[in-house]
Amino acid sequence: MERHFIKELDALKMTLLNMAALTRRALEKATHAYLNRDEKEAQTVIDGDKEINDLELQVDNISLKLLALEQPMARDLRFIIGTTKISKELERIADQAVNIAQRSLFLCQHPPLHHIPSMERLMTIADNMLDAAISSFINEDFQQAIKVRQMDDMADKYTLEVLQTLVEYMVKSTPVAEKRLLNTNRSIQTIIISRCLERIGDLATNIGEHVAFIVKAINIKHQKIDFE
Amino acid sequence: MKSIRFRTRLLLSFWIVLLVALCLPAYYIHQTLENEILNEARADAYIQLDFVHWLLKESPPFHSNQALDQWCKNVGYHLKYRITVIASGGRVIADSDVKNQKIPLLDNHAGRKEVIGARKLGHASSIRYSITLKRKLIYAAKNINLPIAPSGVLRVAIPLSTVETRLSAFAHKFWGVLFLIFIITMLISFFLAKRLEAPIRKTIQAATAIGEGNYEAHIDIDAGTEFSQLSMCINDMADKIQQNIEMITGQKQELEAVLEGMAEGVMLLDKNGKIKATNQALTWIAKCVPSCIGHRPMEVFLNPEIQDACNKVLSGQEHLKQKVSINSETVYEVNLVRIPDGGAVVVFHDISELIRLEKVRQDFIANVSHELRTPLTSIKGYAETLLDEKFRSSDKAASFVNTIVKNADQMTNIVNDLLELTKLQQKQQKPDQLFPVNATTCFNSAMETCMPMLKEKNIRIVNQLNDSIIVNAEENSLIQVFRNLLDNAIQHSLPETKITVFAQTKKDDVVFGLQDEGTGIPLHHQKRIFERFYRVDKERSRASGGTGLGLAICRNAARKMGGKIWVKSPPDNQSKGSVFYFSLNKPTDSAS
Repeated sequence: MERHFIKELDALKMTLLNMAALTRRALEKATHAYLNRDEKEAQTVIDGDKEINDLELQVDNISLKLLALEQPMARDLRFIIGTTKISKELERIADQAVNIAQRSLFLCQHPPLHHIPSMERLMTIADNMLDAAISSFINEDFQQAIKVRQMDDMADKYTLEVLQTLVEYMVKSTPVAEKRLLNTNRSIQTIIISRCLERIGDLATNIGEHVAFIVKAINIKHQKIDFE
Repeated sequence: MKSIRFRTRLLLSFWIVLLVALCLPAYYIHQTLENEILNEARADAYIQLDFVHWLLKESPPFHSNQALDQWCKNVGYHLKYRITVIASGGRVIADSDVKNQKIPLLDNHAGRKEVIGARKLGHASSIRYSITLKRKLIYAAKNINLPIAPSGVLRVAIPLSTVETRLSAFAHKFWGVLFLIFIITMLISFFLAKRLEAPIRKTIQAATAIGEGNYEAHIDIDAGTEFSQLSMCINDMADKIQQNIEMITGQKQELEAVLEGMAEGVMLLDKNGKIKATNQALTWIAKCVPSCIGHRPMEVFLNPEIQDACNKVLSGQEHLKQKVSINSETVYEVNLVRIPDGGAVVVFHDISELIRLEKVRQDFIANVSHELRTPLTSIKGYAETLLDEKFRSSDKAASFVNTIVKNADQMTNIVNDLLELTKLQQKQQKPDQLFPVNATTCFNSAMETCMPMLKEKNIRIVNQLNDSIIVNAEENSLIQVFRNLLDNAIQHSLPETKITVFAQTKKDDVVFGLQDEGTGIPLHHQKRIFERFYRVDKERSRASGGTGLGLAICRNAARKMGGKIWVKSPPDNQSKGSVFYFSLNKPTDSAS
C-alpha cells in the first residue's frame, strides 16, 4: 500500500515535470519565433498547447485519486495540493506563450519594428524566472523559490521600458495615415507580447510560492517576508 | 555456548574426557573390591559360625536358657562378636550382647533375613544395620538342633568396620589421585590450549587486518603442519587479494580517467531509472540540479524526449540513438545502451557545433549565390534591354550602362572580398611577420576613406585615441579592420549622430572600441554577425550596398594578428546603439 502511494506520488511528479518541460519549451519557442520572425515555430507553439492542457488534466486526475484514496498527511498532502496549483500556473504560462506566438505570427507578416533591447532583457528574465521556479520545485529549494519573486521587479521594470519605448515611437511615428495605422498596430501587438511576458513572470512567482508552501508549509502569498 | 572462550572450551572437554576415563574404571574397581571384601567377610563369618557351632556341640548340654545365655556371653566375650541363639518360633533364648533380663524383651527374630534363609537352606548370611548395636554388621546363621532349642537357629554377628575402613581408605586414595590428575591435566591442558590459541589468535589478527584492507599483514607462525598450511593459505590469499584489488583499482582509475576526460556526458541509470553515476561533462549539461545522483533524467534535463528514450531502453530495448535539443542552441546526440541486468548507460554527444557549422555552410552557399545573383540579374536585364537597337540609341542607354557597371563593380567587390577572406583564412600570420604599428595613424587613414559617407549623413566622429598607440599588427589589415567597422557603424547610424572611437590599454594587449548610436543588434543575432554574408535585416542592409563580408573580414584579420573581435549591443549603461571591440597585442619590449 505504502509502496503504491510512493509510486503514484512519483508519477504525479513526473507528469508535472513533463508539463514543466513542455511549457518551458513553448515559452522558448515563442520568444524565438518573435525574435527570428519564424512563422513555423510560432505555429508549433500554438499547436503544442493541447498536449500541455491534457497533461494538466492528467495531473488533476492523479492528485484527486491520491487525495480520495490515500488520505495523505503533512508534506505529502502539501505536495499534492501544491502540484495541482503549479500545474494550473504552468497551463496559464503555456497559454501566454501561445498568445506570444499568435502576436508573433501577426508581426512576422509585417515589416519588423526596430530593435528593442528591453524586450530581449524581458524575455531573458521571464525565461530565467520560469527556469528558477521549476528548478526550485525539482530541488525543493526554498531559497530559490523565494528568489523568483525578487526577479519579478526586474520583469516589471523592463515591461515598463518596452511600453515607454513603443509609446514614444507611436507618438513620433510618421504622419502618413496608412503607415501610422501599421505602426500603431505593430506596436500594440509588441506591447501585448511584453505584457504576456510580464504575466509569465507573475505566474512563475506563484509557482515559487507554491514550492515554498510545499517545502516549508508557510504561505508567503501576498506577504512581504524577508528570508535572507 | 558460543561466548565461551576457545581455551575454556578446550579445558572443559579435557576434563570431561578425563572424568569419564577415570571414573568409570574407578567405579568398577571400587565395586569389585567391595564385593570381594564382603565375600571374604561373609566366608569368614561362616567359619566363625561353624566354629561356634562346634563349640556348642562339644560343650555339655545346657539345662536352662540362662545357662545357654551365660555360655554365649562367655564365648562372645572371648571371640569379640555377638552370638545369638534363636528358638524355633523366632524367640531369642540366648544372646551374648544383651543382658539376661532383657532377652525376653527382644523382638521376634523369625522375620530376619538370615534366619529365614537359614531355615530354608540350612545357613544364610546378611549385611545390615543393627538397631540394637547401632552399627553395620554381617550376620551369619545356621540351623542347629539342641536339646534345649530343637530346630533353632544359631547366629553370629561380626562388625563390618574392618571392611568399611578398608573400602574408605581405598576411596580416599582414589579421590586423591583423581584430584591430583585433575590438577595436572588442568595445567597441561591450560598450556596446551594456550599454545594452540596463540597461532589462532595470530591468524585472527592477520585475517582481521586483511579484512580491513591491510594486505601487508602476514602471519608468521610455526605450530604444526595444519597451522602453517592455514597461515600459508591466508598469506597467499592476502597477496592475491592485494593483487586483485590493485588491478581493479587501476582499472577503475583508468576507467574514471577515461570517463572524466571524455567531452561526452555519460550517465549510468539503475534499474529504477534513477541516475547512479555521471562524469564531469554531464554535470555541465545538467543545469537543473546541483547533483545528478539519485534523480531521474527528467528532473536533471527537464526534457521529455530524454526521459522517454530512457524509459524505452529500461523497459527492454537494447539500444537507442536519438537527437535531442536541450534548448534552441544545444543539440545532443544521445546514445542509450541497455545493461543486461537492468539499468542503462546514456552518452550525450554535443553536436550543436556540427549543426551550427553545417548551417553556416548552407547559409553561406545560399547567401553567396544570392549576393552574386542580385547584381547579375540586373546586369543581365539591362544588357538584354540594350540589345534592342532602338533603345540603344535613346538617351537612357547611358544610365543603363552605368547601372551595369555599378552592379559589375558590386560583384567585383564581393569577389575581391571573398578572395581577401580566403587569403586571410588560409594562413596564420606568424608573430614575426607582425610589426609595431601606430593604430591612430591607421584609424585616421581609414577615416579619410569614409569621409564622403560621413559628410553625407552628417555624422560626427569622436576620436578619443592618443596620438600614438603602438600595437603589433600588419598596417593594411589594421586599416581594413578600422575601415570596415567604421563603414558598418556609419551604415547603421541615424543621421546627425556621433561615433566614438576609444582604446583601453591592458596588460598585454590594447582593446579598441567603436561605439555608435544606431539601431543596435538583437542579442540572438550577435553571435552570428561575424559570419560571411550574415545579415540581421536582410531587406535593409542589401539596399545600403555592403558586400556582407565586412565583419567576416574584420574577424579573420583580427585573428590573424593574434587578436579577438566581439560586439556588445546595447553598450553598458546605454539603451541603444552598439559597440564593436577588438583587441591587438602590444609589441614585446625587444620589438619596440
